Amino acid sequence: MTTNITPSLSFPPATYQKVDPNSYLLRHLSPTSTSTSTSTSNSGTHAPTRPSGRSADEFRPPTIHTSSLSHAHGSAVVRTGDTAVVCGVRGEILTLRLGEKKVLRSGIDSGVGSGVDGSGALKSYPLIVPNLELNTGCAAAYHPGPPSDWAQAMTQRIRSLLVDVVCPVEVNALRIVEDGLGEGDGEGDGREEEKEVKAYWVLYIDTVMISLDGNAFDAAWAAIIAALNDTKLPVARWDPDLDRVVCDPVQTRSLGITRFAFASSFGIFTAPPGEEAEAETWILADLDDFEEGVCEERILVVLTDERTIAKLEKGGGQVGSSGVGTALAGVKHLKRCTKMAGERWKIWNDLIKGKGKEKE
Amino acid sequence: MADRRRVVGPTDGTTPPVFSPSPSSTSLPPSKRVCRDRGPQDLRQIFLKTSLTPPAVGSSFLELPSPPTYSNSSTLKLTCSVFGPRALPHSAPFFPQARLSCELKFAPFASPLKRRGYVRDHTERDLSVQLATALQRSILLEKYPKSGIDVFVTVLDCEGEAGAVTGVSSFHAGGGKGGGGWGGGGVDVGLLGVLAGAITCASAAIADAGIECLDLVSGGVSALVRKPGGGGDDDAMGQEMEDELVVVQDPSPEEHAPGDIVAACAVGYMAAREELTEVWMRGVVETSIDTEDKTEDNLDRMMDGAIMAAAQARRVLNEGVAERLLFAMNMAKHEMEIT
Repeated sequence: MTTNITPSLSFPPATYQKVDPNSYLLRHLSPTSTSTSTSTSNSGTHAPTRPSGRSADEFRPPTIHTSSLSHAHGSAVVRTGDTAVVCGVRGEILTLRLGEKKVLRSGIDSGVGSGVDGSGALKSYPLIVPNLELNTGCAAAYHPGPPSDWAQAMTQRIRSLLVDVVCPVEVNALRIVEDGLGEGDGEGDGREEEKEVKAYWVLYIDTVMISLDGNAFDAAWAAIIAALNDTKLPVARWDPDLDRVVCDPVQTRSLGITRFAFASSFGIFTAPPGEEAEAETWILADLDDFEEGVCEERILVVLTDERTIAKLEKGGGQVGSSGVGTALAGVKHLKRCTKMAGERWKIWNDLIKGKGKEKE
Repeated sequence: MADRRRVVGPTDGTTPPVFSPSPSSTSLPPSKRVCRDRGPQDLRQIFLKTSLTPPAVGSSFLELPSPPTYSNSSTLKLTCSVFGPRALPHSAPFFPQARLSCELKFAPFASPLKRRGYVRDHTERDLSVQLATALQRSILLEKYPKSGIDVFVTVLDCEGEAGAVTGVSSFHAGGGKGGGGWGGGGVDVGLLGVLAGAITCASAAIADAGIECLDLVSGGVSALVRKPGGGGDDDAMGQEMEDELVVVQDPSPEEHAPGDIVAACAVGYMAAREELTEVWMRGVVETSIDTEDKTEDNLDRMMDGAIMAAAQARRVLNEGVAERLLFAMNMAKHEMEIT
């Protein structure tokens, strides 16, 4: 890269961004701190604006499209700004071996494992198989080939959130029982009948990142939830004559997802030492690719409704000049992020629910 | 084949759902294979948009609608992103031209019947190589020495058995040779459609990336179809000379009975230079090498059909690229006005 060194030592913003990203972001966030700032022309002196033009706590508006894939049982395309994700859910059948088949008595919802909420089967058998594919040319850093460590870590986080924490899919919805009509509807089933679980649906949740401009997790997670909400599995029954599971070509049923959890990611930007605004911090919502490279401190909040926290993560806290007080400041940050995540949760929820209403 | 880098399903494996005419369902879907209700030369409307993946240098998205009889949904969906020209790693040997690498990958949910794995299989590798061949000639590679141009195509959705994981028996016909290994009828045109779409889509993305090209390459598919009612069993179409074979452009596997498509061919075509960069034919064609009459020979007819389809696709490609160009020009003008 060549820079035109003029007597006044000024260069275009794009170069500034590359040469010193920290100070570039700082100049955007606190344009009034120094008079020599070169890129304040459009931001003015009001609320701090990021290079993308958003304010510090502004998320990128999301869009969701569902049921656009013809071969998946459920699918969703989520776009937030320049980050775009496609998620397809596909059900396949896991037939249990003879010894594994379990009898369900009405009223008692005995899962295969001994999970309290009947979700044991979700853990003892990998019935939910999420994967995140980043190597699609979505950003310059990812090449085709085996997933990077980061992608694997991401997949694991999604999996643990899906299976252990949020559990949007009830194991009832995945059971295929011998009684053709029962379908393991669970609690609504009043008949005194014994049903044998012959097979399970296995949900393959494949998430393909099409375009990545930061904050992959939020978008991928929302796409998964939207796709699961959109999923309609064929009505399946156990055919004793054929000794296999047979699906109805027309009838489908949805998974009946009731718990909608959404993730919100934040980054905390600390002014680099040696600046006027040293150790001052800003909470930035929904980081884009450039900001992800600059912010070292991250906060992830997953909410199952506006108030209930399912997962809270904070990493990479920096030692401020004030020393002891920073831990307290961190807690304060978390509280603020949770509040913002609540608002974000509402936006996602309305978006998904709104889609559902439209179809009905 | 355990993939330790991804989440895999149950160790015993799972089976895709098997459907049966169930007694509970009164309204069975109408027979899926119905005649094509558009003319043999009518193409489906191609949707092409560039720059949908902003982090990439150039990108494009291509979509084909389902045959109108069945639904207003779409089938083929491709995204393509282009990176480059970028510097090759230091370990790479000197190369006076740019190195073009193409990667075509089906998304796991793209194919019918069975879910596709993440590891690239032979079909994907084959298509990647063919895509590279089709594009190679159009790019001015010598303008970018010591650099690499990477083209990534992701197939999100496709039609027919194109993505089916089972072994794909295919053979190439380099330009003019036909005949050989294929047994009965029933050529899967879905895969050819994917290649043709990928060529058009990738060419748009390359133009979008601002890489210098000689010409744009567009893809087209045509098929030789046994006319419905013409009869004849699948094995003996060679003998039945009275069987009328119709050339159909942009065939969709949804519109033809499995055995009706006798042969199909996809081409990569540079319309301005009138140059074929890629020919991929599947199926069996009876050709008479000595006939000069083009309207008689099945191979000629089919190839002409594919070229015509590609020429049509080229118009969409032109528009897609021009749209981007106009946008860039307006932006430049705007910036000029500011400064």
